[in-house]
Amino acid sequence: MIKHSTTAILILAAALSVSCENDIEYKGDGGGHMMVVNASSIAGTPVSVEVTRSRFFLDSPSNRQILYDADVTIVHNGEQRTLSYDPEQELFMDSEIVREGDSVTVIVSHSNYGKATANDMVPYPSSITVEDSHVSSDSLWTVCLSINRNHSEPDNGLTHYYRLNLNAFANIILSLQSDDTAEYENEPDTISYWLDIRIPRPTAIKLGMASNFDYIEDFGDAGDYVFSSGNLLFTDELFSDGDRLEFIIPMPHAEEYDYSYWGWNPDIVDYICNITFETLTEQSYRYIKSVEEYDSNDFAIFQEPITIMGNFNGALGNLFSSSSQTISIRQ
Amino acid sequence: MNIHMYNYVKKIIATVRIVTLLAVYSALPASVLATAPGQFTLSGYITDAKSGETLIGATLLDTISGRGTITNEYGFFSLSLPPGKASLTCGYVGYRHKSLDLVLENDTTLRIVLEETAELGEVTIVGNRLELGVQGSQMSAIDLPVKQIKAVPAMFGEVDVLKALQLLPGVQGGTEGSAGLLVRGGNQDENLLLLDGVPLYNVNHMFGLFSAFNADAIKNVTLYKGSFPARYCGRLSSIVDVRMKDGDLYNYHGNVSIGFVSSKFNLEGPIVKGRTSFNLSARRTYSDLIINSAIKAAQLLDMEDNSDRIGMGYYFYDLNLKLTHMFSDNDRLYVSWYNGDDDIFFRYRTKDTYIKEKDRLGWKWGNTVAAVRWNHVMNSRLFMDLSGNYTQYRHRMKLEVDSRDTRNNESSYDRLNMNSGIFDWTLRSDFHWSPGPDHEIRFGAYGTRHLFRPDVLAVREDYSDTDTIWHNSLEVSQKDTHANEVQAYFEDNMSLGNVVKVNAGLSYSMFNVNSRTYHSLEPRLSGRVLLNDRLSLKAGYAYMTQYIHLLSNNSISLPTDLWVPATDRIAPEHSHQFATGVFYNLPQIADFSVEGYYKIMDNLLEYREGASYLAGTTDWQNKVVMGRGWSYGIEFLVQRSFGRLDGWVSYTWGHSRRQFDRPGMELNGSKAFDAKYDRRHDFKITGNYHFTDHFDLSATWMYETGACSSLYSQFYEANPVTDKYYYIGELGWYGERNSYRLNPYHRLDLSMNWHRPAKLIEGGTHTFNISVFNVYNRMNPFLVYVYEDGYYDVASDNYVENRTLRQLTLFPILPTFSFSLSF
Repeated sequence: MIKHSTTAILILAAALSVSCENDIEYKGDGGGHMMVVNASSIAGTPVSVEVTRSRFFLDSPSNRQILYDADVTIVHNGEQRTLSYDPEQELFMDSEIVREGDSVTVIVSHSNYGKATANDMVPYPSSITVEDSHVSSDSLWTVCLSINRNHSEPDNGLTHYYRLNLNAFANIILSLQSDDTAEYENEPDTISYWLDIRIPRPTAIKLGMASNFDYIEDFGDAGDYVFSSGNLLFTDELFSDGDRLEFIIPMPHAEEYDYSYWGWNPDIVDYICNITFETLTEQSYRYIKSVEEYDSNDFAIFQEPITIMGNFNGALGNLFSSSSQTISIRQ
Repeated sequence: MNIHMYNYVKKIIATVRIVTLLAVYSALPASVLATAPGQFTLSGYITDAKSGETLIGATLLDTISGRGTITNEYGFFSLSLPPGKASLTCGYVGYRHKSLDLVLENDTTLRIVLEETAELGEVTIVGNRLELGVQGSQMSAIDLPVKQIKAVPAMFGEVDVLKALQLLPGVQGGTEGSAGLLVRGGNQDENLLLLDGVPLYNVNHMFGLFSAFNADAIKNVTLYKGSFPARYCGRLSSIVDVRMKDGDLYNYHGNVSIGFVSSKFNLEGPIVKGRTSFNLSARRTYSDLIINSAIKAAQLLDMEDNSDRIGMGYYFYDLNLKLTHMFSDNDRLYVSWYNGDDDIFFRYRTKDTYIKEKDRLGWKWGNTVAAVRWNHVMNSRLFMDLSGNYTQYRHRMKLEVDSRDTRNNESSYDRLNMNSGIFDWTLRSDFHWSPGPDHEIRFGAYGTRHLFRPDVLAVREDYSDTDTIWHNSLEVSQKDTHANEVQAYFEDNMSLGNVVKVNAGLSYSMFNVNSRTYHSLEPRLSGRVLLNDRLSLKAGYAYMTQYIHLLSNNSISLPTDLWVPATDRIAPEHSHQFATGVFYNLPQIADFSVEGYYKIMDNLLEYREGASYLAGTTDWQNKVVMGRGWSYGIEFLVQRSFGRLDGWVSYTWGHSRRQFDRPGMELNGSKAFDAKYDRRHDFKITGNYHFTDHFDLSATWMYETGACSSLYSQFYEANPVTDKYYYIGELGWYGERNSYRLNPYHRLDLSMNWHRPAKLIEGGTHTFNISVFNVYNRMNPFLVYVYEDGYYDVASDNYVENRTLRQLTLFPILPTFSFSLSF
């Protein structure tokens, strides 16, 4: 009996290994294409609009097409303007810039895909200031930022939405090298290295960052969240207890860069941290958040599907509104 | 037991005592007064004539007064009758009816024994008619004797209790092959699965293909889909009450079965004849033995014997033990124990001279359930059941990678440990009291101490060589959570004349977790109006509260699925269910029923969009959102329980919706969407034809609307502003959540049994079974995905890409056979 069972199981295993996959016809909705409008109204820049069509999921990625023949108009603070297509940038561009507090409505119509509209307001920018920047004796560069809300904005009690991009790197300035070409003979070579940025765990948890095991490393009791560079997406609720965001950049010493194999000796290491701070509208915040979640969906079968936030009525895509500020600090 | 635990246990005992005493004493005056003058009580047990096994749901009817009752879950009955002559008829599924005439002059105790019948005409499917059929006040419930469960064609030849339940109206099975239950549009975690009254948290073996209930150890299964009696609480959608066999009090006998996937045995008999019995069942799969044998055989064929050593496999086992002792006719003690585990293992060892690598993976999950129960007949009208229970579900994964290079003395040792679980200790008291001919009262209380261990993850890395010793370790542990749960209930199954019968009840429950305490008062009502002896109308209402949730992706059962409690942030789930129906009995032909239901559910949990099902460092509360759901439908059932052909036909039309629109907890843009397993049409037919005493044939055919899925059907470019820091590329769009329907599911299963007397064993029988699962090889969908293929076209100098939608089917046609020997 056991022998027969074994034989039968082997037959079963063979049966299971074949004929269990078959191509099927797609019978759901959305078999055609949809219009996609991606627009931006960023303070200090003109409105730009990209009009394309989506790709049916069974089509080749090369099937994406720009809809040059779309009619694009905007209503900027009540004034309507038609946008013209800029073939170099592959965008419909406005001629005037928008400022904080401006109301922007984008209207796109196309003979095949109908009409789509979205509107948003360019946000009043909050700003950041560097409250503290010092290097401790153990070569930890501590940077402390504070958020300053824009007081000219009507206080309607709404939540504010922000994106902060932090990039820290070390420029390693090398001596003149023997293999330099004549063109660069008198210029020092520079090698840039991304540096870790550590955010202490309580703040990291508030930021909702400690979500992926891959990125967690244990550095003693602090249990910092560590990343090389990237975006922090948050609301002003994070700053409800002091309006401060503190982060630490561990700074390797110059002598740790060992290039002796190539005969190089670093002379100077220049540590730089670039900070871009954007104030977003709620719609833009939700869009970026959903896109980031979508982008981190590495284990699709173990994750829920994600709805990308879109604010165009009648099309896929998003009208993105923000005001931004960039600062660069050196050690 | 430390002092804290001791104090907790003391508190629970005190609470249960107080609640029970309050319930008893509040009811006691009624007890004394309610006994109608001039009535005598007939009480006792109904048992199997040969084994002494108590029979659950056996009917006892006095044909003179027209009064009747059924035995409770311990085989006890109590019936008040007028003095004088009584003509009793006693019946039970698969047993010969017994008639008994007696003259009642005082309260009388009886032990009624029934003989099993082999006559085909007396085989019935659904028992418990007095309670659940046309005559009873209970609706939305069904009894399934194990005899019928065993007649249903089985996948891999392995009979499964939950898969038999999936054939009933209003019950679906979720993913293909899964033993999960989706009842009346509810989720998988909304079912309370009780083994001898003790909850089992994870009933799935082999990722849900089999359930933890071994049919050999089981006596009876009752499913409640709605109108829940007040004694049951804690889940929104169903109660599955599984009772284990007590064991034969007089003779030893058993069963050995060799199947396609597993083998099992069952042995029962007396320890002290007529007083103490045991019932022991064990089951084990052996795919691990086969796989390892094949690997070893392959290695033996490798003459140089220089290949790396690999060992891998998967198995599960179940052990059920029940001990029963009768101190007297009035006192019985039961000890039930269940232990089951699934185990996946992988071992790898190099044979290299210099590099020694040793990898080990052990992944185990399982349940342990233990119960000690004392039944005491306090008097002919009052029956008491006291029990102490323990149940645990545990999950543990251990991964070790050990590597050493003997040439440079470099070694590394990495280890990862994950474990989680839920542990419950319960004290419970239940009373079954028959104060008079028109009332059947149940009341009781329980207290449970829960311990939830959501996730503990530990990683350790060690590295050393001649110059360096490096060590890194991380433990991410979500805190153990303790919770206390208390319930007290009272229900009265009362006759208001001959036409109206009502089961009215009230349940109070309290759940304390951290510093938060939740209370719930749950009214239950179920009633029938008897239009004539064959036709009745029924209606019911139940309010249910569920304090614990299962974090699961609902498509396959993963051992990492977590049971978590209601917390400060996550509120308990609630449901209101209304049901009404018509029940008709055509004697000797069939029973007919039509039931409609409407269910509203609140505080349902779903994973957030993009949340990972895998364990991680995020607090589970951040991964979930709360919302509401509603479902409605109509169920038709025709069941034939007489003659050579028995079986049933069921059809359900149902619709189940969800909406998550609370701020910060939105799904699907706050719009309502179909639940994942919203199947509009669900048709099943199952039949068993007894050709002769030696041969029978069973068949099941089912058709279900395809399950829902969220399939990205369009892709489009992300807004360039997202590319400011890094390139995102394309985004997917799936329209409405769960808007894509997989293909309909249908299949036919067949099963044939040949029974022959065993020549070598006196009185023994051997049975040879052939089952064919999915007879016409229907390619039913498990999941769909986009398959990408391509080739380089030389002529056009382009890479031509082809994309097709591909469907994965888990189980094509599966013929299996098994052999069993009963003695």
